[in-house]
Amino acid sequence: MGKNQEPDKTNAKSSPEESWFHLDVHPQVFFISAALIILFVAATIVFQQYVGDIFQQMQSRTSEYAGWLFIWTVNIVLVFILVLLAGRFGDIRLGGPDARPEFTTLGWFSMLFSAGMGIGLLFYGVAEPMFHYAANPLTEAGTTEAARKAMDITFLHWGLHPWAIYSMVGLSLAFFSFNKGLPLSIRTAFYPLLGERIYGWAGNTIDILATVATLFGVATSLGLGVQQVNAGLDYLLGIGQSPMIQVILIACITGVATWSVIKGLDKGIRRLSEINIGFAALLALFVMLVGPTLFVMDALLENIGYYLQHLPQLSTWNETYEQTEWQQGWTIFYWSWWIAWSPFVGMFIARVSYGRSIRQFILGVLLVPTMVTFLWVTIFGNTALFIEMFGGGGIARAVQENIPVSLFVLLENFPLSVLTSSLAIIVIITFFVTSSDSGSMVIDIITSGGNPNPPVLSRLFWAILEGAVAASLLVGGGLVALQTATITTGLPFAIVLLGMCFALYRGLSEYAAPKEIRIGDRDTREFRIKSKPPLDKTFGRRRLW
Amino acid sequence: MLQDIYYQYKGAAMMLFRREKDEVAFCGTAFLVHSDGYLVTAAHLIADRAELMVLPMEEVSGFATVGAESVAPISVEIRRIDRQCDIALLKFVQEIEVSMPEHIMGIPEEVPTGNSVACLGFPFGHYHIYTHLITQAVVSAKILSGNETRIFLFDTMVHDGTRGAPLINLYDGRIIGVVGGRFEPQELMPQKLDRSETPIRTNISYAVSIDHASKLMEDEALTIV
Repeated sequence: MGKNQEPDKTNAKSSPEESWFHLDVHPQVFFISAALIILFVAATIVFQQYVGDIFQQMQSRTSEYAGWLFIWTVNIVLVFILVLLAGRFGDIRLGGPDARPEFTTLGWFSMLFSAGMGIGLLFYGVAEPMFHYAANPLTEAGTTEAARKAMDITFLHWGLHPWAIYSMVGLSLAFFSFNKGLPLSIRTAFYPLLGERIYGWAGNTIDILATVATLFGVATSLGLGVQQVNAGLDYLLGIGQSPMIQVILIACITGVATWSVIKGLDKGIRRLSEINIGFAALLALFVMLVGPTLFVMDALLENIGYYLQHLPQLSTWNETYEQTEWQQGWTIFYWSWWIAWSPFVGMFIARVSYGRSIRQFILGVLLVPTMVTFLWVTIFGNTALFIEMFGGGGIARAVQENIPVSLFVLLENFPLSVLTSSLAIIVIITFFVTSSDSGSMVIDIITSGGNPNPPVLSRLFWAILEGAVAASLLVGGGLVALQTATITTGLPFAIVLLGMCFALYRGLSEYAAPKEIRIGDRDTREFRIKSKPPLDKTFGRRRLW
Repeated sequence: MLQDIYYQYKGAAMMLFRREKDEVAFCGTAFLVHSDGYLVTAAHLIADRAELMVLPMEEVSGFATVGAESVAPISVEIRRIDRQCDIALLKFVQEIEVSMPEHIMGIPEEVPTGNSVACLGFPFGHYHIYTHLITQAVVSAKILSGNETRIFLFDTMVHDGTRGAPLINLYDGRIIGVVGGRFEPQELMPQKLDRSETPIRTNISYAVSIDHASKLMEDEALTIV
């Protein structure tokens, strides 16, 4: 057990499924993480109020004092990734020159998009532009300019920066593990800093923290998410809201996710992700067609243009002269949220990106998802703005009252709302399943010591534990407290991200440098060179055919 | 990129000598292909059973003298030879440590026509100029010779000494061919021409696809990485 630390260059190839009862895990990481998680859940339920206050304080202090650091970090990471995209390392393949991708481009893209954005986009696509339209520190609320700024700010929060952070972590992990033979695990990101010590207790600690943070991140999102699903279902069907229904929902979602994780990446997670993206595309198309189609098409171009023109300005804006505190609750919160999620999403992206070149990787992880996000946010956000600005209104109020319900309020403004609302519920649930199964997969890989095809028993264990944690926190309380705790890991990881830029650049330079071919010592004796005239008249000609 | 390729292969391309009693005579270029001490060259350079020797260029920095009265070459033996395709596989007689990166053998099938290539050989060895020259060209055509040998035509004028040199893909820095010599159109289709016709001079040269060398290496039970 726990012998997976040896570099293994072929480790990303699918190996035959291991037997069911074979539990090949990293003992310290697996058992200590599991124990810590159970302990934490118990402590949180018992000392709810206390735990919640501590992390809330930590989170708001971090935003207040380290906001500038987050803004620096995300911008540096974005510039760094763009440099890699255009630079000379673009042709390096993750996994070596002969590696070939494991998944089709569509399957790959579906998986990383489902893991990376998922559920938040569904609710905030409607809600966020409405919030900024109703109030933002840059313009007067409710004006045309406010609508423009609202979309711009939403694009900033969901656009290039988060995907650049994911690309950065994903690329580092993939490069150091597939090309340099280190284990596929979060500790690998620290190799340039710690060297061989990543195999010791320091590395174990990092992996344990990553496991705990990922599990709580995914479980609390699941717990909070089902409350939103329940609110939506109640609004549509009037079934009421109760912990009982929510626990049943968790059980269903966990059940499907467990099935998907056990089936493995290709048969389970990829298929579900593709189905999920298919449904989401259908919903978006539907909303665009029945909604204000022309307005949305106009807006897409204008929003992207406005975003690109104002990107340097808005992304470095720091509230210095306004002295407001708006940014702490929005931009800084998002930056620390994305950074806190990045080990999990980055690790998943790394796992599925074997065989892509760095240029393909960045195009696929930075630019394509950003464009899809823009399309999505424009369809939902601008439709909401349209209703608010030129139609009956009421969305802004719905958003302030209840974010998940606002999506359904929006859909009700258009024909066939029963159909679209049902489709929306399906999309929400499949998004939950895909983020839940990719979360479990990441934890499985970490706790098996970096094995990209972790043992089935461990997959079963973590997938079920995730659901169990979500359900106990839901019933016992403490979902928000633990979620805040997860987000506070953003600050230390922001510093790690900056170190990663440096380390990755150095690693790539070393890797891409030409390697001299030379021979060692030999025994020789001197010979005089015989003067011999050049071959007569051949002048290089040869007859070989 | 050419600088990187020169840096990588400058130690791999070697002068090929034929031993004649206590003297050696220059015949062309050979290059290292495997860390067990294997080299590849053009088979037509090896005319008789004379002992063969190779010599890497001395490590120099800056401008250097190019002549020499005597040299200290390394003995090699012929392991495999394919006269049809004009490829020979040589091996150091003594055990010599070779440091070599993985993935130096390219995939000729995937190299598109028009691709940039470089060749690194000793064109003027017959004139006592013992320095290698790197030249750049493009793949002008990929053709089959009369005996079905896969051949790259490229647009640089190679000289006698460059025969047996590696043809390197500039895109990924891997070896895709073994330089054979100048391309003579009359010789490809001799049956269609009058023998007495004056040879034309082209600046097109040819190289035999490295696949044919890989086959010889496989016959030797070498693993190609």
